[in-house]
This record gives sequence, structure tokens and C-alpha cells, in this order.
Amino acid sequence: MSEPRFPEEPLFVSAELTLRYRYGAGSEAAHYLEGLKERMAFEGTHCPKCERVYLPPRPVCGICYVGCDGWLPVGPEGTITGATVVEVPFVDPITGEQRPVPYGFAFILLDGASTNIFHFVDETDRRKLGVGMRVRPRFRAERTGSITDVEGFDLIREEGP
Amino acid sequence: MPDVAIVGTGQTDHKSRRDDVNIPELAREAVDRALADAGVTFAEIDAVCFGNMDLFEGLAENEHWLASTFGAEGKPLLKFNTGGTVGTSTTMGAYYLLKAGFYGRILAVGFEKQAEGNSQGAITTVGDPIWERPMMAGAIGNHAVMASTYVADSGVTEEQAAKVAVKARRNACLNPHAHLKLPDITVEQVLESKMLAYPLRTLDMCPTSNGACAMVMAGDGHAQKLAARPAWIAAVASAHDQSFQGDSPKRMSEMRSLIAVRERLYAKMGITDPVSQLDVAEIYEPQSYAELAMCENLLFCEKGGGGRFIDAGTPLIDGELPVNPSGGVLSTNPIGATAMIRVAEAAMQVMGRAGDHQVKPDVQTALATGYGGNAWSDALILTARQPSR
Amino acid sequence: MISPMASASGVAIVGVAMSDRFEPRTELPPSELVYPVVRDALADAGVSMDDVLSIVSCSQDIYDGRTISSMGVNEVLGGYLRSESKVAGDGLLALLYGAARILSGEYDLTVVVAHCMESISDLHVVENAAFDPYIQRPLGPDDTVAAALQAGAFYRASGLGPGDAAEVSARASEHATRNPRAFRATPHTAADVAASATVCGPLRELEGTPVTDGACALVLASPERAGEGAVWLRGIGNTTDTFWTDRDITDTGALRRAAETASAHAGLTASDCEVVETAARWAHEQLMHLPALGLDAHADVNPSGGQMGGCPKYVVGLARAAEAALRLRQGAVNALVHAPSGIANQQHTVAYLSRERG
Repeated sequence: MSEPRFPEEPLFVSAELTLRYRYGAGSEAAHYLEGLKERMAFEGTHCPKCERVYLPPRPVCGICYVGCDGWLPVGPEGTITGATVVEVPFVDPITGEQRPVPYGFAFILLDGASTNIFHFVDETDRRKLGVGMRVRPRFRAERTGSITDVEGFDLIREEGP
Repeated sequence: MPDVAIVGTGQTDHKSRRDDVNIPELAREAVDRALADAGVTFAEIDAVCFGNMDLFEGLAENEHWLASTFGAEGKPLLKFNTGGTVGTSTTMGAYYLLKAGFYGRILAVGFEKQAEGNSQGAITTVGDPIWERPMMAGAIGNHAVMASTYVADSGVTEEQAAKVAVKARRNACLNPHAHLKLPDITVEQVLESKMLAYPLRTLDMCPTSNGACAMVMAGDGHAQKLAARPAWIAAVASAHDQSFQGDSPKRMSEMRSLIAVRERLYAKMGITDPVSQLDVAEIYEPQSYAELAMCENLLFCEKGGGGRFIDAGTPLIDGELPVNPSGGVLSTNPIGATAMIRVAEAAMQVMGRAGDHQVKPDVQTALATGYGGNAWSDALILTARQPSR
Repeated sequence: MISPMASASGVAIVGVAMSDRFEPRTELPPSELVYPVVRDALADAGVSMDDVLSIVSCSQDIYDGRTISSMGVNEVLGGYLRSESKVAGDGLLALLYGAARILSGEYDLTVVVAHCMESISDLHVVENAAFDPYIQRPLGPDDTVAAALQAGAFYRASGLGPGDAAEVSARASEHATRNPRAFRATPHTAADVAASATVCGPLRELEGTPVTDGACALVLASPERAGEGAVWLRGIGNTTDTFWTDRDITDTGALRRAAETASAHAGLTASDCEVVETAARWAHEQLMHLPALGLDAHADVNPSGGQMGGCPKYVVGLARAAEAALRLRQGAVNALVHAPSGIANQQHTVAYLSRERG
């Protein structure tokens, strides 16, 4: 059998796949997002068995496999449990635009919550951003009841005398 | 319930691009090599288990398109697409099907042709669309935050993490299939490479690879006819964490899912001192810090001792417990194949077929792990001794 | 193929649950559809999630719009610290894998869950993604186009025609209307089918399947765990054909082979079964599949209303098993269950269920 002959340049077929989804937000979202919009406040869902308070909220505690029984306030302040300054460009999946770099990004444990959320932190010098630091949320002036009503978190910086 | 073994493996030479082959041809290279390694043809294969992240290549249900590539016509065909763990999920699926006695010989395949498609775009859909995606920072941002938690918990230094990066790329030079081979790499070079997101530098991260891996697996009675020294699957375990990326209080230093699988495997195998009782480990380390955290969770060293572990040289290829003699994920990462490569490399060690990166002539017990998604942990123990004998 | 089912071991179905009529619920995330079904299946089985160590889920990432779609339902599946793995394909493949986990001897319980939301995406786009990317996708085909080509070829080869399919569709709608679990609530006649809009010739709108959402869960158990009233999985077979353009799409050889495998395991044939649940997205598919299953093409099957009664892709095979299991609990002795998957039904899974352990 003769050897396969490849063309000088490999042949490529280009295709663009545009996928549009309507993602149902579910039963927790309306309550939670209303809290962000109306009161600039966070609440998590509570497990009656292990007493954990979950953020993001969820209807079922996966550890106990029981339904969560209600909401408890958490935050608004919290503690950084992991932090970085991102310097490599990344396409924001919601807008399709490159997110400008650098930007601070962290795991944050809001006071009273059992689980971390991640969010942007307003600090781009990594030597000034670390585990254990305290943060408070920065809400948008114009809020629409969306998860992005929280713009990010600011370090609670000690004021000098 | 017959014992199950791996009796042949095959991999492509993993690369940044493979413009010389299309997707079926890429997968077929590894398939042909695995069949040859096991000394079988498609006629001897009873069923096919296939794993791949089709959405990364902008495809869906590609197991049907690829049925002929895998010789699957007229046979059962199962598809898995579980993310980073897909290679171990596929292996475990085949393991259970063989252990149930449904089939005697299964071909397991995994691949990814990441240069053709938008892996990053597809990976962002790992995040929950309501609660996580608007704040995501990409795989690197995510890994960096996790690595920072491990730094805070353990005090591991960037030099110690860099030693992991050096070990991986030097080991890769002994592995003809590995993607990123850097024979002259030094700790200084790692520390001088570009900071992507603290603490992760370019050389702390795994590459994006195009490649495939395949294995022939067989049940008791068949396995002994196909390999002089089969790699028997003595134990398997799999566990998840919760739903969201921040759910685990100590995501790296106390990875709940990895601790759960470790406890199950070690209890089943009577392992109390892994460094002396395991001969080699192929673990799924997406970045350098993660390898040390995983070694702690696997009890290769004491809690918080990951940095001292690499300083002591224990996981080096000539150390007491070589970790990732193949070069690991840090050297080669075609996502659909990566976890299966861990199993194949562990099997090659047990079978004595790892060539220049064979850690010692007689490997009795090997550990392979898979990792992915939101701290999904898989682990298998392979042995030279048949489990039920 | 090897038959483990004849050994002392066995696999029982001890719990069954499905989404309420598979109503489209676009406003819900998959987790809120899946949780009640898993919870109800466990309750039906009389077991707690604390007793469960093994779960097999089944979903398709591109439909969920989520890479590793099982992560989206992880906690409600009971995934935390448990061994849960996901297959991609029809739910009966998850039943095959789940059964293997029981027969391996490593687990005495396994929960099998299939879920899909058809209502949240553009089905034409997601279906098109399964076609050959080099030479087929650019032409814009989807599942309906392939089904239409198959229907036309089948009518030419068999001498049957749209009128026969219209009868199948009418009967399915009658059965669905009488099944409180089915989505379709109003029957239609063969004349209604013939008068409905042409979707893609020769297929008419009413002979297809409505868009639905939902989940189905079965709890599998080893004989030691199975109590009274268990339904037994007596045999299961899966066979794949080549990709649709590499074969004669009127050929049902893969289905025949899967059926033979299941039959050999089970020691049963189709004629032993009072209940036959065979998934068909378009009515002509049922005319094609029944002879390959050993039945007359015009046999009255699918007492549930079948797939045409409304059931999402990827869930449909498991839901057929669930419907069959429920009818076995009500007095029938043996059931035959079948679902295809892949473009033009490339792959088939067939299972025999029975009140008798065999």
C-alpha cells in the first residue's frame, strides 16, 4: 500500500458553536438576591442537623442529606481564607470581554458562614493581600437584584491614630 | 467476581499540537499501541469504555462518531465525561464491568485534542451559572487561591514548590510520551518564570496537551493469557466534596474527598506506612503546590510537612517513594487522557514496562489517583500479586 | 458475551421515582429537579442515604450547559464523600453500570439517576454538535433530519408508511392520557397526525415527542438487601452499530444483538413479557424496533405512553425501566425494556425485568 500523501498545509474545518442557555435560578435565588438589592445584606441557608450555614445558599445540606430549614444572616464582613492577584488575562464568561489585569481574587468566609465564597478584592499588590485579612463588601450604587450587585470586597484597613 | 487487571497500555507522544492527525486518528494511535502491547486485535475485545470532554472540542456524543475508531461496532460502548477524573472514571467503569463478569476484555480509551476547540471556554462552564460564573477567574485564578490556602496552612515555600516543578520536567525527559521535557530546568528558572497569579508561576502549572491513552483490561482467566505480569487492580475508591468551589474549609491541606479515598484504600490494603508499603505513586497534581498537599493528604508525610518531604528527596525518582516518575500532570495534560495516563503509568511500573523511568525492577504496589471538578478524588491501587490469591 | 446473571448473584430494583409528568421547568436548576426524585426513590426503597455508598448518574453536559454536569447535582445525588460516577448516554447505560457495581460484590446498594432538561437550550444547536464536524455539521443537520431520512428509507424498504406510524402515535397518546405520570394529557387520532404540520418529510409534528425536563431514579440492591416485592434485573445487553452514515440506517442488527444478549442472560424472550416498554422518539422507530425485539411491528406496547408520551432524551430508557418496574409490582410477571441512543439510533440497550428472580 502506498504511503498516505498529506497536502502541503494541513486542512482545517473551522466552526463556531454558539450555545445559549436559560439557566433556572431556583428557589433560593429570589430571596438571596432580594437581600442583596434591598438591604445590601447576605443570608445563608441553615442545616438543622449539623447547623452549618451555607453560602452560596442551597436547599439541601449535602453532608447530612437533609433539607435546609431556613435562612440566617451572615457577614457582611468576612475573613480572607485564600488570596491571589491574577495577572494573566481571562475572558469573563458572562460578558465575553477580557477582564483587565491585575486584579485581586480571594476565598472569603463571611462572619457566621460555614463555607467560603470567592470574589474580587480591591488590592493588586500581593504583598498587601493575605490569608486572615478582614474584608467588607462593596455594593453597586445601582442594584438590580443580581449576583453582581456585589462589585467586590475591600480590605478593612487599619486607620492610623 | 473475577479479579481485574491491566494487561496492555498505549499512549501517543503528547504534544502542543498534532496537526498531522484528525481527532479519530489521534485516538487511534493510542488504541493501536495498547492492542499491540497486549498482543490482541479488536476481535478479542468484548466492550469499549471511552472518556473524553467532548465539549472541549465543541463536540457532543462523540463516542458514536468514534465507534469505528475504537472497533466498537457490534459491541457495548460506554462513554464517560467527568472532567479531570474522566480517565479514572473510565478505568473504574471498565473495572466494575469486568468484575461483574459482564465481559472478559475491555478496551479503555481517553484523549483530548485541546488545540482544536476552546477548553478554557468550556472549563468556565464548570462553575455554577448562577452563583459562581460571574466571579470566576479562570483555572489559574482558582488554583492560585487554593494554593495560597495551602501556603498559609503549611508554610510551604516557593522554592519547595519549585523543586516539584523541577522533578516533574526532569522525570519527563525519561518518558518518551511526555509533553514538557526540560532537562536543564532549575529551581531558579521556575522562580524567574512569569507570575501568573500568586503563588503560581508559569512553570508551576501543567501544560495544555494533545494526546491519547488506551489500556486493555481483562478479567481473571483472560488476563494471565495476555500478560506475563498483569497489573491487578486491588482496590478502587472515589469520593466527592460538596457543590461549590469554596465549600471545603481547607481545600488543599485537608482535601476531604482525597482523605476519604485514602482511608478506604489503605484500610482495604492494610497500608499503615505508605512510604514503605507503596513502591511508586502516580498522582494527579494540577500544579506544584497541589502535589505537596496531596502527598500530605495521602500520608506520605506528616500534616504540614509537604515542603520537608520534597527537601528530603523522598519523592524523587531515586527516592524512597517516587512520585510521578512519568513527569506527572505537570509535564503532560491532555485532559480526557490525563487521569488514565496516571493509571497506565502505574500499570507500566507494575508490569515492568516503564523503560527509562522504571523506578525499580520489581514494583509490587502502585498508587494512581485522579482529580478534577470540585475536588473529585479517585484512587486505585495496582499490584503485581493477584488480589484473591 | 458472558452471562453473570445466571450465577447466584442478582440485581434487584427496590426503589423507583420519576419527575412529576416530566413537565418543562425552565425556572429550576437541575439540582431542584433531581433532589425530589432521588429522595423519593430512597423513600420508596425504604433506605436512607446513610446506607448508600454508590451512585451512578447519567446526563449530557451540552444539554445542561455545564461541563461535568454531575457537579451541578452532586450534593443532591448524595455525592459528598460517596463514590458517584457519571455516564453520558441513555439512562439504561447507567443501569448497566449500576448493575455491574452490585454484581462486582463491592456494593449492596447503588442509586442510578438520569436527568436532562430539554427546555433550557436550543436543541437544534446541541443536536447538531453530535454530527461529524468535518463534513456533516456545516450542513446543519439535527436529530430530526436524521430521523426523517431514516423514516423515508424504512418506508421504502419495508412497505410500511406514514399511516402505520400515525396509528402508533395515536395509540401512544391514548396510553399516555391514561397514565397519570405521562406528560401528554390529550389523545389524538391517526387522522390528527396526518393533518398536523410536516416537520421534516415524512415526519409530522404529532408523531414526535414533546420537549420535557426531568429525572428518574432507581435504587438497585443485591439479593441480600432486596426484600419482598423486589423487581429483578434478569438480563441486560448493549450493542453499538457504526456511525449513521457508515451503515444502512434501516438495519436493526445492533438492536437484535443487544436483545439476544439480554435474552440469553434472562432466559426470557419478548413473548414471555406482558409489559414491553420501548423508547421511540418518532413513531416509525417503534415499527422498526419491535420486529428486532421479536414482536410484531404493530404490537400494542408501551402502556405508559412511552417516549412519545413525553420524556427527555437520556432519561427515557431509565424511565421505561421505572414504568415497567411499577407495572411488575402491580401484578405483571415479566417486562422487556429498550432504549436506543445516538443519531439514527446507533446504539441500543435492552433489559429484561421480572417479579421472579430466575
